[in-house]
Amino acid sequence: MSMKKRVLTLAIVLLGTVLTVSAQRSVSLRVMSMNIKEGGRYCGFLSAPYAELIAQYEPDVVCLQEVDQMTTRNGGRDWLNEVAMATGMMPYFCHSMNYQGGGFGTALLSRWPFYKMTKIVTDLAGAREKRASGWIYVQLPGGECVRVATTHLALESAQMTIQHLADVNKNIFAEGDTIPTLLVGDFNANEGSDPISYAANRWKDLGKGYGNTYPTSRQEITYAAQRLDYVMASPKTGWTVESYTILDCPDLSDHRFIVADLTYTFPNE
Amino acid sequence: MKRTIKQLLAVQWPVLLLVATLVGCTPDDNGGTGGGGNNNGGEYVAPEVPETPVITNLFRVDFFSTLGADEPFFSGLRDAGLASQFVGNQASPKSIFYLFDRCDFEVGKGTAAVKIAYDNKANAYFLPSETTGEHYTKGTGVVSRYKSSSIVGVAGDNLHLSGVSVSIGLSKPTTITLFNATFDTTEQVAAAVEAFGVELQSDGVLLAKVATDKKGDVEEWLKKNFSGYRVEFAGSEGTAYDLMVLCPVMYVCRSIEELKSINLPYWKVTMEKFF
Repeated sequence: MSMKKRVLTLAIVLLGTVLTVSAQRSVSLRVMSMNIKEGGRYCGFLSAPYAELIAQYEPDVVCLQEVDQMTTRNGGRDWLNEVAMATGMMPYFCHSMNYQGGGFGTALLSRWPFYKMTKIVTDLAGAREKRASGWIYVQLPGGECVRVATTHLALESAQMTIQHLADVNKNIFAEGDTIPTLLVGDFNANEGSDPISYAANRWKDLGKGYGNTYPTSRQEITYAAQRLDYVMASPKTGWTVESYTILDCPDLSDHRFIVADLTYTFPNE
Repeated sequence: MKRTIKQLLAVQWPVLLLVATLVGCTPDDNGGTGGGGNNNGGEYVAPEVPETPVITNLFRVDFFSTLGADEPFFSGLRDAGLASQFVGNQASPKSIFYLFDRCDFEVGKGTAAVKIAYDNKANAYFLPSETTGEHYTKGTGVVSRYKSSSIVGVAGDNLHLSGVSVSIGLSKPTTITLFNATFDTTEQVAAAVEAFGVELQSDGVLLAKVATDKKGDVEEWLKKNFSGYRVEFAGSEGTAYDLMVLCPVMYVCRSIEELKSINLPYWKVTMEKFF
């Protein structure tokens, strides 16, 4: 092959590489995890303190646990819609069970419209309550889609936590396992425990090394520090953590909250 | 000059890349179940329905819309507060869904459907009708007293179609998925049938805006390419769109009434399910 042809071939290969790299799609989003402790008991079940915190961080999606909807103890307050109106986000309440004349469960808030959503309720034998997990398919500006799930796993035993996670995995991946997905919330399992080892089969733990999430500074003397709240990602490759912040808000919950900036780079097609 | 396979691939790489990207951009990865019976030859005609409805199997959907092209529904004197009052004051039988066409979603402000739901202790959903914008996304706000455990949908380049599923009590417990979309081309209808044909032949009811000048084409396309459905159209003089109600053959649209609540135009759609 002449030198001219070699140079030409090399140039074409390089162009192809450049085109491939520049065509590689990615998506960035900010998620928050908030276990608000019994419907927001620590601040009198008010919605405004949570809405103000969320507004301060401008997340794309908030994953909430322990949300009351129009219960006696929260004064019949439609807590989630109040936060949604105050932040301009779209709400999705995942009803776990009837409670005090209203509902109790997990919830999602999205800064962007979602075109698809699913809720499952896991009712394990021997569990003290039913637990809902839910996920939304959010299309971000530009057209890329991500799936974000909220969950609050069973706490009665490590085996039940694993069973619960298996149910979430089965249902969420039945809807596809290639779309970038985040599973966020209170796993009721400490780092290094069997449930978190089990989670590692399908998920990448994006919060490793960023600190514990329970309890808040108010209860540090009473309870041992643990990491109970997670941001898990699927597929396990392609995710980059831009920042991962643990928020200590002792007036709002016994759990610390998480704010994570994440990027997913799609594999080459 | 003879080229090796490697050289050919190198030359064609950008082209292949472009083709792969285009294939990857088709609205396939976002939820449709696919299917839908094609009509192999001949035109489909829906079977006759009983003249007298079974009252306990009737349900109602209110579709608030101007059937216009470019205007958000809640603009000018059309106020979301009036819609809240309408939902709150409605006498029995209450509608299972209140749809607010062009109840758009604005970043940082959300959609008026949430406030309407909040005022009535109900649930709000939003079905986007276009690709998410940096600041603003057109779509339909849905308010229902029923909690939905799922929204199915597709968000593709050519079609945005979502449906809210709720379980309601007719003479037997029934799960209905109410779809909503805006169709400007027959190709979009074909894509909707491709994505959710199975649902539209079982328990999916589609309330859609169809460009007035495409209504005939859509009707023809359905007759030739789909089956197991019933379709009705309604519209006003001079509007850009008509309302289309497409439902499985086990359902029927009994009536579509054009009404107004103060200054809010709406279509009262009464449907029946056969068991």
